[in-house]
Amino acid sequence: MKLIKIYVAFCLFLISFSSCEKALDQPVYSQLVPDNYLTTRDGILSVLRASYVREARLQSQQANKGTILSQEAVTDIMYSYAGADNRQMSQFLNFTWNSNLDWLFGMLWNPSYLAIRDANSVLDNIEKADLSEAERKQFIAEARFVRAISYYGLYIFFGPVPIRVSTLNGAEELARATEAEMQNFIETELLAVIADLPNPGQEEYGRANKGSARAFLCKFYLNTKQWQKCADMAKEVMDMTYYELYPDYSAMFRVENERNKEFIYVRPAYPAAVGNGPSNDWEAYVFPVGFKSEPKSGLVYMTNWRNYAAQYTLRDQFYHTFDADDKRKETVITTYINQQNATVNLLNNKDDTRPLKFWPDPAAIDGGGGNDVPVIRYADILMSRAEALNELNGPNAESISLINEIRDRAGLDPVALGDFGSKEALRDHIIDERGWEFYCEGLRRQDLIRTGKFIDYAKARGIANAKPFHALYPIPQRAMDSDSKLVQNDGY
Amino acid sequence: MYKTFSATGGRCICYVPSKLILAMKLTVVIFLAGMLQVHAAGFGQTISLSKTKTTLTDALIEIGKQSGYNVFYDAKLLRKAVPLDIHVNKASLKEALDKCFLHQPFTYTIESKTIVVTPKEIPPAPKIVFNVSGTVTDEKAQPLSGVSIQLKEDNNIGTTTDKDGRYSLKIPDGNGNLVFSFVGYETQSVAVQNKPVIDVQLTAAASSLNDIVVIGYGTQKRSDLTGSINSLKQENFNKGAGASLNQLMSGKAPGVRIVQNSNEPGGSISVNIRGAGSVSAGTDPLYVVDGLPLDNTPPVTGAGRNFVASNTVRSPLNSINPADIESIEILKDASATAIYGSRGANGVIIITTKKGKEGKANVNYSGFYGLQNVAKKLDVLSADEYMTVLNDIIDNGGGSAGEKVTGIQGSGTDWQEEIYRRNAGMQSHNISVSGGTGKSTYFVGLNYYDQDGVVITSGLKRYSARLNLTNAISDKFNIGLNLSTSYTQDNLLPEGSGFNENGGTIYSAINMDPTISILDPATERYQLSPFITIDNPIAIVYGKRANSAMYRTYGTVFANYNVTKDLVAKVNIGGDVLTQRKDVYVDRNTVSGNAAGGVASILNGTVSNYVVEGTLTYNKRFGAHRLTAVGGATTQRFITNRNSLESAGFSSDATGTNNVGAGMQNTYDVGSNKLSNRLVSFLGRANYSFLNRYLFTFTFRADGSSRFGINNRFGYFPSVAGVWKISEEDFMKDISAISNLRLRASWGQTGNQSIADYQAIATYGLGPVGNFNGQLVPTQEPARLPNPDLKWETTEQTNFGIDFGLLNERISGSIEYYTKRTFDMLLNKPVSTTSGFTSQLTNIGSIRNNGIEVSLVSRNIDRELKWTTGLNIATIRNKVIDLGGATEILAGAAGVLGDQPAIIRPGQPLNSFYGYEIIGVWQTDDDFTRTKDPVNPGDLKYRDINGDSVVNADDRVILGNSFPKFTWNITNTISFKRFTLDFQIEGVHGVKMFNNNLADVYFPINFRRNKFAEPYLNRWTKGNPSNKYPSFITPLSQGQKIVNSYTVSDASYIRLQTVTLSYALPAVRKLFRSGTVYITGQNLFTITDYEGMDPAVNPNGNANYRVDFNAYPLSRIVMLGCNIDF
Repeated sequence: MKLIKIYVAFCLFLISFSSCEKALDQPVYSQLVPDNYLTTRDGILSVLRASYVREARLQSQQANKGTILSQEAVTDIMYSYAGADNRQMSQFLNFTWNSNLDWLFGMLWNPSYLAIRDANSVLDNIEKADLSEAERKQFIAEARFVRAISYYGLYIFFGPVPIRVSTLNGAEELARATEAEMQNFIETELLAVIADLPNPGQEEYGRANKGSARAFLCKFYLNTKQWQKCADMAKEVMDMTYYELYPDYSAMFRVENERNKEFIYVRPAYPAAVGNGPSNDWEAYVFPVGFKSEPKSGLVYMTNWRNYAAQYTLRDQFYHTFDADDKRKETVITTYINQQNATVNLLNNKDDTRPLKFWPDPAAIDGGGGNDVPVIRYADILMSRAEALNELNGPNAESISLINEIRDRAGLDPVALGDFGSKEALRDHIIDERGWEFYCEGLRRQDLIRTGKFIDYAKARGIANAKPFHALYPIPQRAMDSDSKLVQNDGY
Repeated sequence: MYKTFSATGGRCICYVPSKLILAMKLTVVIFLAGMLQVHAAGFGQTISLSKTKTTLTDALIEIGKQSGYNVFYDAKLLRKAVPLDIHVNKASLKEALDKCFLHQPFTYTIESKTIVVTPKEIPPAPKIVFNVSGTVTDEKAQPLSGVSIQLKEDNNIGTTTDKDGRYSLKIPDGNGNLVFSFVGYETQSVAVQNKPVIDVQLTAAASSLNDIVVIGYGTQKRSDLTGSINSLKQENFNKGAGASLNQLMSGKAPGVRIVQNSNEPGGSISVNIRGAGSVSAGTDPLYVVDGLPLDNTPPVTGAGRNFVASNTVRSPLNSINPADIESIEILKDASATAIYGSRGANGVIIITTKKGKEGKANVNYSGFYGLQNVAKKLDVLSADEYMTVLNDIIDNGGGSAGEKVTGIQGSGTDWQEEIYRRNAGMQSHNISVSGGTGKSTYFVGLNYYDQDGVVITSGLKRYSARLNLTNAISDKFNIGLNLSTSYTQDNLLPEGSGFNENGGTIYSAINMDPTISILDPATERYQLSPFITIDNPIAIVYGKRANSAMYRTYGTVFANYNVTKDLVAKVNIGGDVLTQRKDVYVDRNTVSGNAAGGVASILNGTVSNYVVEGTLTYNKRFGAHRLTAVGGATTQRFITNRNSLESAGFSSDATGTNNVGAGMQNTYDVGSNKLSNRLVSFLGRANYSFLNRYLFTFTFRADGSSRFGINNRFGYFPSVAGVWKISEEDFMKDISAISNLRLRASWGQTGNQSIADYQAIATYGLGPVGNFNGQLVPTQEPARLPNPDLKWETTEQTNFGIDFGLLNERISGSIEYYTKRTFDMLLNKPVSTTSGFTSQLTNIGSIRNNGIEVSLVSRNIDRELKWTTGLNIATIRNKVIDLGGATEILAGAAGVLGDQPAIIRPGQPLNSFYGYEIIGVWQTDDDFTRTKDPVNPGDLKYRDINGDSVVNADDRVILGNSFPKFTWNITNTISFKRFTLDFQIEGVHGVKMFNNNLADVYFPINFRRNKFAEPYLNRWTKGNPSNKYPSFITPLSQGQKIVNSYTVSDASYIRLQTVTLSYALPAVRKLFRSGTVYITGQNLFTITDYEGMDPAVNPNGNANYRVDFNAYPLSRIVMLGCNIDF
């Protein structure tokens, strides 16, 4: 009966558990708790890096689709057909997008705000972190840099957006900034961080330096038509004497040459299966279905590349504007041999030449290559100064000389000051030259908007419904629904 | 039998098994003979026969013809007959028969004009020396006809009462016992004691009302239930449901919606009890096996690299052997479920496994073997049709000239035909031994289950064992063990919502160009189309392989101690360990495997939990009052542990996943995580009854969970219920038509806690991998917006029920009305996206489900021929009431979607489909000035809701939802003698499903994919101005309005689910005691307008949001099975 007594005692014990509240605090095993994690240097650095990676949009093909294709399919340069992406792309191509277009949220809006959130997390916690003062300053500058360029991206896509500078208020609803507040924020933040950022070449590759901040400022001034500031900032970058044009245009985008002094700021890619890392699978969209080899360059399809259903191509009207001698179109595929060993001439099809600008990485893993995607090249700085000076002073020798630096590399004859009788004539040439120089780098939409050609070009392509309001994308519907203080852009 | 008899003009030569003859009841013979007398007059009484070397059969047939006597024999038995010479002239029947049987190993008997051939060794029928007769009446002294009377001492002696309730029986002596039995009445045994007349009054059994029903933390008599509970015993289970326990109960309980997520072997199943009460937390019921609340978190959820897995992972419930299950109780209302508190809101399914019963060891074998074939293929264009249709569209301005179909290789390929397996086998074998001595009982069971899928390479195997023991240590103290262990091996198919290059087997078979052959004649590799990037379906079948091995061991140890006569203390300690390893290898047959040099993934997971609980049960009667009370405390802790390894770039495919280190180092990808949560609970219940007429139940549970915020750790869940047994009232005693009538009402609150762990607190989790200084570097970022106020979702349910039994339970049933309101809903509330988060788990909003459930059982005919009909009907209305201020939430994603196809909007059912309404096709003579959209004749015409001449996102409307308005299920059981025919028909009406494959047909990803035949063959052309199907010339010109009134299709159906014919074997001494053999057909036919593979399946995996994409085909199954007690 002793057994039974023990048993009854045990039952009573069970029925009268005490201190159960404590039992309900479960250990967190595989995640990190902010209180002790963000007090360390490695913790802060890891979150800071996350903000860079979010801004770079190399996850899940966002950079190719979101920041390149969708920014050029709305212009005279790129075209795309087939594939599941076409469900989104057809809306860009036809100017029928509305706030429900999913990519606006997934590729343009949300990655920026993820980067902003991560940067804000760094800034909110860095004072408590165990860091040297020098490093604290640099990390603060970097977090502010990532945040500022994220807002710059949002501003280019959507116009002024809510400016959130801290994570501490949770998801408090915020109204959109005014045009002046938005511009002021981007400008002052970027100006403020230059001092604390490292010199070019001294940063961890993939992170910001003084040149990156100045280059973004230059582009910001250009697109906001602050011509004098743009010209000055371009000069500041040039005066750093660090950057230079890479001698071979086509080779510049090859993975082996990507760490060059022309790429001022890049989205740094690395060979990895798509989804497993920040890789670039440009070629998988660009290869025609059934691609086997390209006789001109000797390119032969490797089994570690991929070939997707969606087809990225150049519009014929753009391709045919290239000068016959222009080296910049060397990597555009016009004929290829298919798996049945038949030669296919893509020029026989409408809008079907293939911009293999990011030359496939032989080390690609399952189609994911390591080609870095340039965001700002030194050539853009030169062209920006040329454009700003023209806008300030009309055609001038320095602008022509800057343009000729670019043309020289492309193997083209120089242009002369006398070729341009007016500011407008040179502006038109600059926009054409920018097209040949920067095609498939995601700059065309803002270039055309800035020069007032965006809607005219669309109409010229037969898109009757293109309207001035299309120069801004609508705030994505998911964002609108989530925040009652948001006001939609006009026209949507 | 009667038919045969008449047609042969008075002869009845029946081939019946010998066992039937052995056990044949006298009544059968008399019955036949009685009929015979009408016709027998014309026959001669003498036999003339002259034959040499004839068979006994022929001789008997001749004798039967001449005499007009029936002859009963077993053809198999007569194979042992020796040939005979017979020469008789005008001999008597006996003479003729004696001659026939002279050298035969059998003999014969004549019973009322029937010649029965029997083996010689059978002892002659006992000498009849005693006559007993009498009348059988019911409680109201009305005669009962058809009552079976059996001599207890000899099963072969028995009779039934006639229409006046009279019987008469000859028995060997006056010392035996007579057993009087009749359906719906208590069986009575009467000692004869040499009385020649025995009159018996039977009392109504209401036997089902005395069934013991398992409820949470206890049991109750069915007649004492206060809650809404459906109880299913073994005989109610669906036959041939070997893969999972949910299949056993499909269609058997009203208001319990069981939707197959995938028809593949072991494919998961969604179970929703009384609708869906949650948006962001789970809607699955709680499963409790022998007192152990199961955690069915799948240990492995990942798909593996380059492998597209089903949207729904295999449920760990597959590890439970259905043949071990004794009963399933489905607890639906709050009175029944509140004892499970925070896990009760979605209903509770209590599973009780088989236990040993006192007595001799019983050895049971049950098993079946079945063949499966695809019930329906998708009707896509054949090679010839494809060529004609596509070229014609190009000629009319669609596609591009380069895409013309120039020829067909061989006769083309029917890809679906190539991936399906014909006559895929399935089998199950169970052996159990059970029994008990005075102090202990035991049940030992073993199971082997093996099912091949109808799609090549898919399949499931399971090996399981169970041991259930009890032992009484003393009169007051007993202990027991319920333990089960199993190994489940799954061969998984690449399927799910992958598309293009990532499409699975079925996706690629639907879409692949039908004009090419399987192999490329030049390279001997699986052929690819130069126009399509999807991989060859056969390459996927053989090149993408995934196997999962799941081991599960769970069980409880319990001890009961009777502290006093009325007070029992119980301790229950249980645990469950589930380990799974999934191996995925993509080899060089496939495009992606070839690109990467083989891709290997190994995914491991362990999910475990333990429960410790103690309860005290008090049971006491005080005069007219009876009280049963339970109180207790319990805690359960859950731990999940996962890890994964991936690598690629192997020098050979030969080692597969068995040497992942052989891959290239830069492809390595590893991961792991660990989670835990704990529940601490206190529970109590009191059942009180007065005069056995007025019954009340009070339940209370306090649950604490680590998943909730520091400010809201404990939730409290009360319920109350009452029953009035009207039929027990004196004023009802005289109303004979009503044998049972009870009114029930209940109210209570239950909770839902099925959300992920750690949602209340701020943590930093793995962010995206970046490239810094040329290295892949992992990052960390905030995982969520924490919510320290997070708490239970509460569901308040009110239930009214009537249980009735009419005409001595000849018709019985229940009608229930319930209304369930969920508030403080656990909702991923959209938050300002500028925070970097899209949502925060918050307790806001409410949703309501209400419905009526009717279940009826009618014993239509209850004589020798028995016919029982069971009918379930359920209606449900689901309505979102409030989203905490949000006007609507767009929801869902599936397949190749950009837009979200569903909307959660107050006033509408959860996840209503939201899209465009198609009103026809633009015709040549239409007024095109009405629209600013770029449309041409032959394009789809959408309804312009706001009349602005442009159809865009503002013109979307609600197109239906996934909740059927009305479901029914009818089961008929017809038995005659030893034969039983069962068939079950299910109807589901007023339900919609988004068909993503159909969306691909209207908005093709590229021109050269194959398409559904019907819309393309009947497309709009100038000669065929269809107002239904468009021309498909520029299908994308109006953008991709893929969620529309065509693709959101009506998925109503009526299906003959199972037909089973079974035969009860008579006992064979020394061989077996009893047995049943049966043949079952499943899914024999379906009536539906649905265009996809199967209107009943939901590959999306969430029964409240149904999306069909690349569904695994339904199979039609024919199986043979048996169940034998040795």
